[in-house]
Amino acid sequence: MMKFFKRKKKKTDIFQEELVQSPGRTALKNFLRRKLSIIGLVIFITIVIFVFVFAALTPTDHTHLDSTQMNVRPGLNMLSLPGNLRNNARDISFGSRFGVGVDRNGGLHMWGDLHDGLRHGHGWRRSRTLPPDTNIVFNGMGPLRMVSAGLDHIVAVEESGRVTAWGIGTHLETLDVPERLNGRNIIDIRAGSWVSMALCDQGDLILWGNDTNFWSPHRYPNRNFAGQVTAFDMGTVSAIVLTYDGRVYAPVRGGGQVAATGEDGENIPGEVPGHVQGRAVDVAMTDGVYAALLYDGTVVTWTIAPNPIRRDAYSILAPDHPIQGRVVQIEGGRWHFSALLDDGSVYSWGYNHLGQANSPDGTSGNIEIFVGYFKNAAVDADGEVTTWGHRGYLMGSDENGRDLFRRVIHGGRTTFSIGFIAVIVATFLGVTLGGIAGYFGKWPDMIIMRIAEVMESIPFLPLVMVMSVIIPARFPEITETGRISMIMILLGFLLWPGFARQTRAQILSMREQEFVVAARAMGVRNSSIIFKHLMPNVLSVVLVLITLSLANSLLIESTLSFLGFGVLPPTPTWGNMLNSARDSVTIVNHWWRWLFPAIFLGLSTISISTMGDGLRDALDPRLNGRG
Amino acid sequence: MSEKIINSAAQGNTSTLIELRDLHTYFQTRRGLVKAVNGVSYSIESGKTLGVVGESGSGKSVSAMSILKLLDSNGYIADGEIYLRGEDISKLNHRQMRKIRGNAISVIFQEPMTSLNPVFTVERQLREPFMIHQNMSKRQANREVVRILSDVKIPNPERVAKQYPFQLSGGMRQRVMIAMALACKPDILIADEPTTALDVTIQAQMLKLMNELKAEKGTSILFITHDLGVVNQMADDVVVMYCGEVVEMAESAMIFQGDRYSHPYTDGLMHSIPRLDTPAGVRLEAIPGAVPHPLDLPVGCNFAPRCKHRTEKCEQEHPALMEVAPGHKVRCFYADKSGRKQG
Repeated sequence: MMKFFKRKKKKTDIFQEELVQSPGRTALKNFLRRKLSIIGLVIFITIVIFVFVFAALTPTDHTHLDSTQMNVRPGLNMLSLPGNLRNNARDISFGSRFGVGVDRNGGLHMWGDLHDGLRHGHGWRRSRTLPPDTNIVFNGMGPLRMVSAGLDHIVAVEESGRVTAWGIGTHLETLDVPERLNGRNIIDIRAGSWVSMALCDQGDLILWGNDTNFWSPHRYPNRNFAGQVTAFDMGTVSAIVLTYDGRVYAPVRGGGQVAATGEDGENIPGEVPGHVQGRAVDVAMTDGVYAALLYDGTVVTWTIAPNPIRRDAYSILAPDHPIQGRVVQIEGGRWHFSALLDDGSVYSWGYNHLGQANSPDGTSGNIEIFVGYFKNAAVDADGEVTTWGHRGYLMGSDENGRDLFRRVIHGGRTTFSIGFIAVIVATFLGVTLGGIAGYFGKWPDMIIMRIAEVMESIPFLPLVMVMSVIIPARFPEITETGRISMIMILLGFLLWPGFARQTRAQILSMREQEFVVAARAMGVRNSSIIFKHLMPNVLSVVLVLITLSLANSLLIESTLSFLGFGVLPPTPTWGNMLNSARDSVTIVNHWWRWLFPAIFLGLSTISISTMGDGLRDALDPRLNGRG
Repeated sequence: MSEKIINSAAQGNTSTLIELRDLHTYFQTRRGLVKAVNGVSYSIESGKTLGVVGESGSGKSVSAMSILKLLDSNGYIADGEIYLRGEDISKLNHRQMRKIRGNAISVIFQEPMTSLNPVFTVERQLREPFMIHQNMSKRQANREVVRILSDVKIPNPERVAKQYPFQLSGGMRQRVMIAMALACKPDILIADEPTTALDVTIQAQMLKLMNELKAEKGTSILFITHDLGVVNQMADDVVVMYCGEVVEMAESAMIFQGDRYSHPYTDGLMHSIPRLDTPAGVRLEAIPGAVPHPLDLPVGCNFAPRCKHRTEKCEQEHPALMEVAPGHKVRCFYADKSGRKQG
């Protein structure tokens, strides 16, 4: 495209130019002379291609819901470990939207989407404001030994043995470290969502936070591991525990879920599989799926929930490719597992919607892995860190924890599809009917144009509001696709009078010209005269109208969806994305949720309009100044 | 239907190609019924040229367009018949008419500037009759286009075929129009003031071209014009029309050679032509007044208000078309020049 800008205009005198150029080429040349229109065209085509190609490449489940990923800020920094942690790591932990690590000098590092509470510490006096990726030292905090990140809080153990917790403070109980921990030698510590848990010497598991019913006998019927715990893992609402004698304790029922029945009615055993007991050396859990590493280096997985959040939980239960080698460590993310093999390589499996199971090939020499939510890290003997998994959301995430970038792309596809089809319907109807009205005149003209006027005089928004109530009520079985098709047709019906009027006016002025009579005198059929002889003359007007109507229909669709009468969530469109972001809290705090759909919508409509304006100027011979 | 056409054609007079019998073409307007053609009869012999002469609004174009039924949407043939080779085509429907249009009868229009579709190349428009009436493929038709373009003496026809109408001069466009009209070797060419919009030199070229084509292909021409000079040059027979009626018809020679009989209107037209032998200083005679409004025609002779020979009888009675000499009909009570009152 740049060629057109750069190419020097060939010197031709007026007559030569007139002789060599067809009208189409003249129009094209005129259009290409308008830089603003070219920019509009390029932007529009780029957006369309981008939206359709990306949407086709990323099949996305719009019903996806993840409460831990709500309103994450835009950024791809969740795996961006600070430089002096990356090659000198002692402990790393990934929270829902941030990471925390301790280097071998006991220094604390934080990165990712950090709220003030995480950055400065709840209850800690702000000593100095530091950028999030530098070594943060809170007032009075000594060198650290280990650290763990949860949903929205962090717990850390100092080398002196003191335990500290800080965070956003939505679950303040987790930040009150119990006095029971004072003076205990802490072996492992985990921050959960609204509980935290520490494993102390002598096999004691200490739980604090909002711990009501955590160990409920309903879910842990034979709980008998006090003083025997050697390892544990924690999910959002439950934990899996391993004792000295290799016994595994896992919940037999899900937190909120009661029935333990598979989708196809088959019973999924809630109990820990028998052959695991007494042979396990490590345990891990995802949200709903449990895993035990046996002494022979094999991994056993099981689930208690019939539908552990993800429909394709079976990918968490069994890796696509069997693990090649002996597993020495297993860790669970939110919906995936990662395993460290005895040759120091790593392997991940499970649900992969954020790339969390894309374990790197050919790594070796790792001695420990750290997994949390959708993020993984492996550390080798030198403290060198390898990371994989979810890097963050380019455009942030929405109120249901869905990737906003994907929603913008898929929303754009919906919006554009509706716009395109509506304009096609409108063009087809309008041009055909307008052509007939203009060419035949008399009663066909009368009837068609009166219908057009009636159509135009119907107040649009009330009509659509009424329709969007009546149609789902009349046809309760209507699908979202059916609804979208309905909107397409409705928009098309709404826009056709404009096309009909323009076409009719053009044809009316053209019909009296002698070439039409000449064509009739030659024995050309009426339909052929309208569509073959007259339409090319109308084409320029219709072309301009198409572009402008496209912009219009994008806006109408967005308006409808914004008002809640168009496409309904979860199917995204730019309109209903804006609708979901219209409360003041979102506008102030989660700017990315309205900014990106608005930018895309605005850019698209402005670029189409600019393009249409340029096209109109290029095609209108009266405006053809020789510049 | 086509069989019917052949059968009825057999009954007709073979030398008469087309015949209008008592044709009435009316236009329904908001202000009333306009009788644009009111009982017109004329015929064209095959291979001959009929010149139809008259002022604007005399019905000369309408009578010709009635043949093809190319009337405005408010116009219709109220009465009368049109025979093409003895077969009545005035009652045919649109589909049947389409087979005749451009095939048996074709038209050259007055305005070469607007008679070609501005967005099509010459080739694209010219191949249409071939593809419609002779079922040619696009490639065959394109070859034919180049051939007919060279027939109408267009230099470099291959190049012109690829050009758009606006790239051509007026004369070239009119040649293209003629080429289009002649594409399917029609029996009759209706030339509706084909030279009016052209300058005189081009006019002469066009007329020459049409005469040559007529001689070559034996096409009959219905030549509509208000230019008596052109009629003299082109026509074998002449019909003079006034207010939707034929006022005089005869062989060309009878009209132009100052015959004993004539219609005062024809006389007026003759005298309004500047002549080389008119002495200097003599004013050119013009017919006084204007054509009466079609909704407000005089009671008697239509021409009476403008006629310098009119009598009381002219203002009260409508004259009939009378054969004053063999092959010479005049609609006047005083067709004999000697019997006229001098105004």
